[in-house]
Amino acid sequence: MGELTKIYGRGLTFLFVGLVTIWILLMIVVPQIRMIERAFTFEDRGGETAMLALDIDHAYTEKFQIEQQLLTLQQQGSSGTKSSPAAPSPFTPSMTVPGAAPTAPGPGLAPSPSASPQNAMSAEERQAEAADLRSQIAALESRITDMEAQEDTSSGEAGMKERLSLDNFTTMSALHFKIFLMTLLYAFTVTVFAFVICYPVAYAAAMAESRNKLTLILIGLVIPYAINELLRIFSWVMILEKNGILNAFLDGIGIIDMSAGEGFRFVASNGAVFTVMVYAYVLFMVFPIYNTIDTLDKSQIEAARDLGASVWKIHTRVVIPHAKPGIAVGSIMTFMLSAGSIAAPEIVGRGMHPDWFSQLIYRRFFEADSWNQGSAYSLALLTACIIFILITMAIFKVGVKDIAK
Amino acid sequence: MSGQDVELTGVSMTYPNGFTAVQPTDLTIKAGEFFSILGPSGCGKTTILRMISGFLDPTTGSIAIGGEPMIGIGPNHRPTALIFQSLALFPLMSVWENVAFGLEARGVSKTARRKRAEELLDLVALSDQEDKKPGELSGGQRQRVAVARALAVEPAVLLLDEPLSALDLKLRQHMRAELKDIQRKTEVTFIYITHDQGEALAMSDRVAVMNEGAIDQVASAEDLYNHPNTPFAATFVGEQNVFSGKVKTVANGHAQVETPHGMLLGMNKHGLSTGENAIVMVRPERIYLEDRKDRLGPLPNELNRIEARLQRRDLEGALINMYLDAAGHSVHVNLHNTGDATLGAQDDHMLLFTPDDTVVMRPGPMARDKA
Ligand SMILES: Nc1ncnc2c1ncn2[C@@H]1O[C@H](COP(=O)(O)OP(=O)(O)OP(=O)(O)O)[C@@H](O)[C@H]1O
Ligand SMILES: [Mg+2]
Repeated sequence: MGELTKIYGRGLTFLFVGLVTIWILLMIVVPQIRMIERAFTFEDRGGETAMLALDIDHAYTEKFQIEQQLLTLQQQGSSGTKSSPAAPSPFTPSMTVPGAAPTAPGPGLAPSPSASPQNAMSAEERQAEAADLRSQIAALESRITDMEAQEDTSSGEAGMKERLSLDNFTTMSALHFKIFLMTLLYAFTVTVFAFVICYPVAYAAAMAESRNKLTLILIGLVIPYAINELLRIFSWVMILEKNGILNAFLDGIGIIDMSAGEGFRFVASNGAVFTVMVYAYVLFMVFPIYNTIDTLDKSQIEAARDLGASVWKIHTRVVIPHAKPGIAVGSIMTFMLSAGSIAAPEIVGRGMHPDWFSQLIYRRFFEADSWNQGSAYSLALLTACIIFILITMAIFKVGVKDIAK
Repeated sequence: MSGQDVELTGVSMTYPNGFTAVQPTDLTIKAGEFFSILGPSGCGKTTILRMISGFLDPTTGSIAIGGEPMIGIGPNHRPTALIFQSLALFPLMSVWENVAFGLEARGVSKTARRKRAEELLDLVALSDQEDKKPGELSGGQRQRVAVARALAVEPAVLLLDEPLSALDLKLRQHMRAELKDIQRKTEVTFIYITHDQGEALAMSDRVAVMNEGAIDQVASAEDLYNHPNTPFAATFVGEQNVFSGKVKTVANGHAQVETPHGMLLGMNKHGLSTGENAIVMVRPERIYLEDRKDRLGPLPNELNRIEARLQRRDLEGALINMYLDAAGHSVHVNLHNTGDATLGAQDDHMLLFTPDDTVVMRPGPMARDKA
C-alpha cells in the first residue's frame, strides 16, 4: 500500500483500492455469501408446513362455498313468494374461481345452486338449512384461525418452511451423489488425458529453436483457441455425428458403408465427451507447462544425458520436477474447467451420455426451480474443486508463490 | 580412474545454417594430460568440446577416445563427462544427489550412491555440504560440486567448458590450483576450455591456441609464450608490440626488417627471405630504457633502438606500465617497480631490445584488440 502510494500518488491509489474493494465485495463476497446462505437453507416442500398451508387454502374455499349457498338460500326466501323462475346466480361464474385451485373441493361440498332450484322449499325448511350452514361456517372459521395461528410461527415464502440445515446436501439422492463422484472422476480423467497430450507438445515447443518457436506455438495452439468455445465444441459435433465427417471419411476409405445404414454413433458417448473436453481445454494445460519448461536451462538436460541418463530418467528427474508448478496450474485449471463444464456434456452428450454434475446443477436451478438445492450442489462442486487444488498442490509440493510465478 | 587419449582426425563442423565453426582439425590429446584450448569468444571452442562429448556430430572427420572410434555413440555412452559453462547443476536435488546422479542413471543402489558421493565430495573438500541444495552454496563450492558430479561417472576424459569464468579473480586462482590438484590425483584426461590465457598457461601441460575455427598452435605454456608460431598466437597470448616492414637482409637465423622506426633485427624462425613483407614483435617486458642500461648487466652489441615519447605511465604494483608514442605508433613497455619514483618518468626515451627477444614473422591475422 505504501509502495503503491509512492508509485501512483494518493488519489489514484485510493481510487484503485476502493474499486478493487467494491469489486471484491459486490462481485465475489456478497454473491458467494448469498449462495452459501441458500445452500444451507432448506425449503421444506411437501412437508408439514406446506400441507398446513394447503389445508388453510382448502378451508377458505369451503367456507366461501358455504357462504354462497347461504346467500342463495336467503335470496330464494325473499323472492320465493313471487315464485319467479330461478335466475342463474350472479355468483356462479366466480364460484369456480376458488375451485380452480389444484385441488378442487369434493363434489359433495359444492352443491350447484343452478342445478336444483328449490323453489318449493318451505320457509321453515329454509330457516333450518340456513342455521345449519351458519354453524358450518362458524366451525370452519374457528378451524382456520386455529391453523393460521399454527402457521404464523414459522411462515415462509410460498408457504414453505425454511430452516438452516444441511438437508440440501444430505437429501442429495444416491443417483445425484453418484453423478457427483463420476463427474469428479471424469474431470480427473480429462485432466490426465490433457496432461499426457500436452506434456510432449509443451516440451517440444519449449525445446524448439527460437526461430521456429513462435510460428509453431502460434499456429499450433493460439489460433484454434481464438475461436469461441461453443464453436470449438460444435466443430467436434460436426466431425463425430452419425452423418459427420469422421463417418464420411470411414465411408470414403471403405471401412463402413453409409448408404447401407452403417456408421458409428460417436457422439453421446463418454469417449466423445472426453475428446471434446480435452480438446477444449488443452490450451490451459499446454501453456503453463510450456512456460515452466521454457525456463529450464537446456544444459541441465544435456548434463543429465551426458551423465548417462535415459530419456525417461531425464524427464522424471529433471524436466518434470522443474515443470511441477506449471503442471499443477495446468491440472488445476483443466480440472476446474472440465468439472464445471456444461457446454461440452450438454451439446456432445445430448442427454444420452451420463449426466455431468454441472447439468444437474443447471436443472436444479432452472427446471426444478430449487435455487437452494442448486446452490448446495454448486457449493459441493466448488468444495470438491478446492480440495482438488489443495491435494494437487500438496502432491506437487508447490505453494501459492510458485503458482503465481 | 585413469585417463584415455583423444584423437581428432580431420574433424570439422559446419552448422546447418552453413557456418563453419571448426575447420578440419587434427589433434591428439594424450592420456592423463591437462590440455587447454585457448581462444577468443566465438572461435569454436565449445563446438569442439561438444563434438568430443557427443552432443554434435562432426561434419567431416572422426574422433576416437582410447583408440575407440566414437562415431554414432551418444553422449550418454561415451567415456567423457562434460562440465558446462553454466555448471548445469540440478537445482532441485541436494548436493549429494547431484553428485550421484550419474550413478542413479546407472542403477546403482541408494546406499552405494550416497557412499560414493561422500567420497567424491571429500575429494573436492565439500564433505559437510552434501544435504544442501546447490543454490545454498557459493560459486566456488558449486563449481566443485560440478567437478564431483562429473567425476562420479568415472570418465576417462573430463571436458570443462570455461567452468571458472563466472568466478571472481581470487576464487578463480584458488580453483585453478584445486582443479590441477584433482587432475593430478585422478589422472583423468582434462580438456579445458578457456579464453583466459593466464588460466591456460598456469594449469596446462599443453595449450592449443584457436582462432576462427582453426588451431594455430599446440605447445607447452613456455613454448607458446616464448616461441609463438603465428601472429595470432603471439598476440593473443601475452602482450606484443608489433611493427610492420619489409625484410632487408637475412643472416644467421636473423632477419633485418626495415620499418618506419628504422632497421629492426629479430629471430627469423619462419625462414622469411629478402623482400618479403614482415612483422616484428617484441614483448613489453623485454624492452629496456637506455638511460637505465647500466643496471641491466651485459647486453649484446647489436640492439634494436626506437625513439619514443611517453604518453602515460601507470603504476600497477610490481610493474610500471608505460605507454609511449613512436612516430605515431604506440608502444607498450613494462618495467619492474624498483621503488625509484623517477623510473621512466621523463618525456623522451630511447627504447632498447635484443634481437633474440625480437620475433620476425609473416603478416597474418592477429588478436583483435592487439593489432
Ligand atoms: N547452433 C549453431 N548454429 C550456427 N552457428 C553456431 C551455432 N552454435 C555456435 N555457432 C557459431 O559457431 C561459432 C563458434 O561457436 P562456439 O560456441 O564454439 O564458440 P566458443 O569458442 O565456445 O565461444 P565462447 O568463448 O564465447 O563460448 C560462433 O561464431 C557461433 O556463432
Ligand atoms: Mg563456448
